[in-house]
Amino acid sequence: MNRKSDLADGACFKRKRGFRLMGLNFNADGIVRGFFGGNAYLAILFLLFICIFLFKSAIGFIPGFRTELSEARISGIEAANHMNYQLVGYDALYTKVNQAFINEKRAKFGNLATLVPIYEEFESIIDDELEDKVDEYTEMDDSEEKQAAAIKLTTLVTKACGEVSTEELLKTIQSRLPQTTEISDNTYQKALQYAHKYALNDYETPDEINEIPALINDQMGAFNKAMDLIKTSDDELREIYQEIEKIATKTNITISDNRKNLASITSLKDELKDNANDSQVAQAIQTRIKELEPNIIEIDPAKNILPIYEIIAKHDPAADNMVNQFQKGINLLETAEITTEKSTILIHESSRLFQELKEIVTERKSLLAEWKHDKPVTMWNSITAFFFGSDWKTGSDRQSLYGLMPLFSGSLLISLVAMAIAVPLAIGAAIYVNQFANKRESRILKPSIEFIQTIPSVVLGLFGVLVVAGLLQGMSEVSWLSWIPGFPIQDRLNVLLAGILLAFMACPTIFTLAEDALNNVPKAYSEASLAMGANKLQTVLKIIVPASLSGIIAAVMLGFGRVIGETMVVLLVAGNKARIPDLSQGVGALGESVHTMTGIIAQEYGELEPGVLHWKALFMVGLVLFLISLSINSICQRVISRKTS
Amino acid sequence: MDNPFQKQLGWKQKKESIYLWVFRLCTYTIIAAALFIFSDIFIKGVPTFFKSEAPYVNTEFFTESPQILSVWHDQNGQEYSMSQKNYEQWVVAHPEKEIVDLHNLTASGGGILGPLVGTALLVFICMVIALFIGVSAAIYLSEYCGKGKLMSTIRLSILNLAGVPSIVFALFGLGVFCWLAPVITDVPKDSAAFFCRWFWTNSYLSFQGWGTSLLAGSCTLAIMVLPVIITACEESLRAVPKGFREASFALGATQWQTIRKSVLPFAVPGILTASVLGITRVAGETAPIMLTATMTEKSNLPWEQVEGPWSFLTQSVQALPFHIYTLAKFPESEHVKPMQYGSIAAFLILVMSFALLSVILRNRLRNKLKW
Repeated sequence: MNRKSDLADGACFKRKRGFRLMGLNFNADGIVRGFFGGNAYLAILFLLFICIFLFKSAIGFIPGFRTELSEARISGIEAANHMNYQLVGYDALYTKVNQAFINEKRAKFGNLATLVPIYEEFESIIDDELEDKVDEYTEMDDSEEKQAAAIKLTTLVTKACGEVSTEELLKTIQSRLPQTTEISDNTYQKALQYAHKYALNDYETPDEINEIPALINDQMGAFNKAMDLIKTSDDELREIYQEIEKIATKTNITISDNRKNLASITSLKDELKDNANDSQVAQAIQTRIKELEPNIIEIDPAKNILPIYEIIAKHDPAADNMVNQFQKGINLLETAEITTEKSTILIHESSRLFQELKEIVTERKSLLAEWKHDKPVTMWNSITAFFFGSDWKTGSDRQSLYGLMPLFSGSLLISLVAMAIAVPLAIGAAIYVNQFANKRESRILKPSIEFIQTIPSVVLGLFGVLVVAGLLQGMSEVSWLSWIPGFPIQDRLNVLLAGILLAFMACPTIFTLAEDALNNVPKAYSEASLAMGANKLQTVLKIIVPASLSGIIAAVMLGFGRVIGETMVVLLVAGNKARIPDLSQGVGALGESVHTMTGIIAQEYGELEPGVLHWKALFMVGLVLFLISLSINSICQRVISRKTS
Repeated sequence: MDNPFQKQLGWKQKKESIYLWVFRLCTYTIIAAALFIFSDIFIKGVPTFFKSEAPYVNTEFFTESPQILSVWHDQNGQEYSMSQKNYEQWVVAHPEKEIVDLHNLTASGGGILGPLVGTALLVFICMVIALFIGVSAAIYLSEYCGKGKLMSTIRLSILNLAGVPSIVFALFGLGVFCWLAPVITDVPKDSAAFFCRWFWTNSYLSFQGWGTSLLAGSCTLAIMVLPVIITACEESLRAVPKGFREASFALGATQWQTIRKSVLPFAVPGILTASVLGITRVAGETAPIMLTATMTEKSNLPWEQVEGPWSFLTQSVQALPFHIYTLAKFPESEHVKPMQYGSIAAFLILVMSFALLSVILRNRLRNKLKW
């Protein structure tokens, strides 16, 4: 009966419906579906949130940087920077010339130069061990006895000095003159003679020893004169720079203090408005405002800014003077007699760099001529100063500079080196494993190469520091490899090292994807090609590789994306010096230390309060990285999807 | 005897064999580099695990946290290097000896227990979060949603998320979890972005962040590994044949019943593989942990000096990758070498065993489940 009534009601045909609200189904299935769906949308939300958060944190950087830039302009720091830039160029050049000079000196007067440290070593031995004897001898009256004592003393000195083994002596000398390889007998005997004189003469250093450096310099002739000219050429400019720096820094500090005080006064005034009813609180706030107000110091143009113009007026002659004097020095160098190859190369390079310095000076001269402290800094200036700025300098009291260029060029250079190594290797391996290897071989090779992916980057970085750095440097100093351009390498941690390690990291990524792409080529293609009489190699190079080219390109790009975003390896092995690699020296630039975008974030995030300009600058760098990786990824996706469709 | 019928190799064949050897050389260069790295690390690292005396295993290395290493000479020129605790005992035990030229090296003495525990905790919490979100997202993507434009957007964003550099995730985690995440506290900090009263209690809901903490690090890692897990899980769900679902629907099961009874059980091994793969990824990451979870001066184990679960989660931890990074700062010291190589060897063994596990799981899965 019961059953019949159910049928009559039609209840058993009714769909089970849950509670519906606003188009959402609240029965069990609907809830489950909603739960899973919600989690899927989380992924998209994360991406959006990352975008928004990065933008939000980074975007405040541009106006903030603009304020700092305009403060630097008003206070004259900008003008000081222009001068400093020339001086930095001068310093780099001077180091080169000086290296050449020292090298040349050592080659010509090596024995004479080692004489001094050997003698000094003996001197200290006498001071330490034979003090009593020497004193005893000095106090003697002139007599025959004294002559005998003198002979005795000299033998003592010889003996004491002889106790120091030649290797030990060489080591101590190498710590001062690193290029010394041996001590000639002649030099040793001479040093010993001087040491005798020293002992007999009541601790008086013989004049000959004191004269040696001057003697050497004299005999360097034209080179020495050139060095004198070059050494003093920057004095005038440096003096001016220091003067302007002193005034400008003071003004800059005043201005930025004023800004901070003004900001706190405005916020206090806002608070005052909110608390207008509460007279007690209002009074407290007012007293604080009164305390702050005297801290604001007006900038007096006559006192703070006019002197800067006066100094700038002196700049042009000083800079011209520097260039002229340097030119004279360089001209002299060209006439000087140079024997060693290394010095010749260095001097050749210096005269090339000098042309660059000249350009820098003329450029900065025109910039300084146009410079005005009250020219407004636009947003556009601030943006270009970030993206094209050539200095990243933080952490000092002076104005911080946030220029992306050194970081970006460092990242790019390292990635390019890594790709140049990784792409041929990985694609060659993919072709081999996919086309040529037999089944058993490829079953071992494929997982082993994929296994490399699991090596954590920090392990690879530490391995690079401990082992590969030493190997690379050792290799670059081997004489029969010196024909390779860029060898010997300047810095222990450098672009090439980072590139090699990153190439190793990128290999499995590129290999896996490229191998997939090769695998996806329809079998009919290769069969058709073979049937036409092409051999295996022709089939591979002319049919299979072109057919899978889009996949291979995507693989390379994804590998590039992985390399440019890698942090720990570059933080450990790239050397972390924020400067633009000097590409004009060709392959030698690979031997330089650089800094990278990823490395700078990992290095400087610490101890920063959120919201300060430096923090925002790091987020700007992060944003640039994010956009780069996003664009690489989406291009790859497009390439891959076009292929499959 | 020469075979008179054998053809001479033509230049085309020669060219082919040259190319073959070039490709082969590429492959074996990569393999040789990998072998060189592994063997160098193991040969220099494994001796740290063992001792020449009684228990033969270097128990100090596995049961103690990193400590300051003291290196000094006595008056006879003999060199000693011990962790600071042992150094103090030594000084008491040998009053007659003179200490010359003492210097201390950070984190190079003791062992790696603290970092190991820290990494395990980070990975565990991260995987709990990531698997919860990842598996459900994968179920939605493979079972519920169709092929709309929205779905392709979601897929694209997941793929894009996978390509973002880890340092960007780290920066994001630093900004959001360390400085912005909500906390319920009695005394909100001044640096909080925003705070309001928590219902009708005396506490405040303050957006001041969790600081450098275990939780912040785990969440950052979870977001980072999410794309890997979603993609792998979705693949394993899609691998379950359609017939299973259709049969279940034909018997009158609802969608949820179908998923629970006839899809998930067959996808579980695949999901397991995916999670092991995720662990391999996460355990090796350094940059996110460095920014969000670790501090250099931390020396006690996570369960020491903790009140309640919240303070457990919001403490900073040691982690093995960060420990290695700290050690990388003095490359030229002989006394740090055992610790350096020991740590990277242990870390590599750990990560590789997980990777090996995932490979084995995957292979067994392929052999077992054949539809």
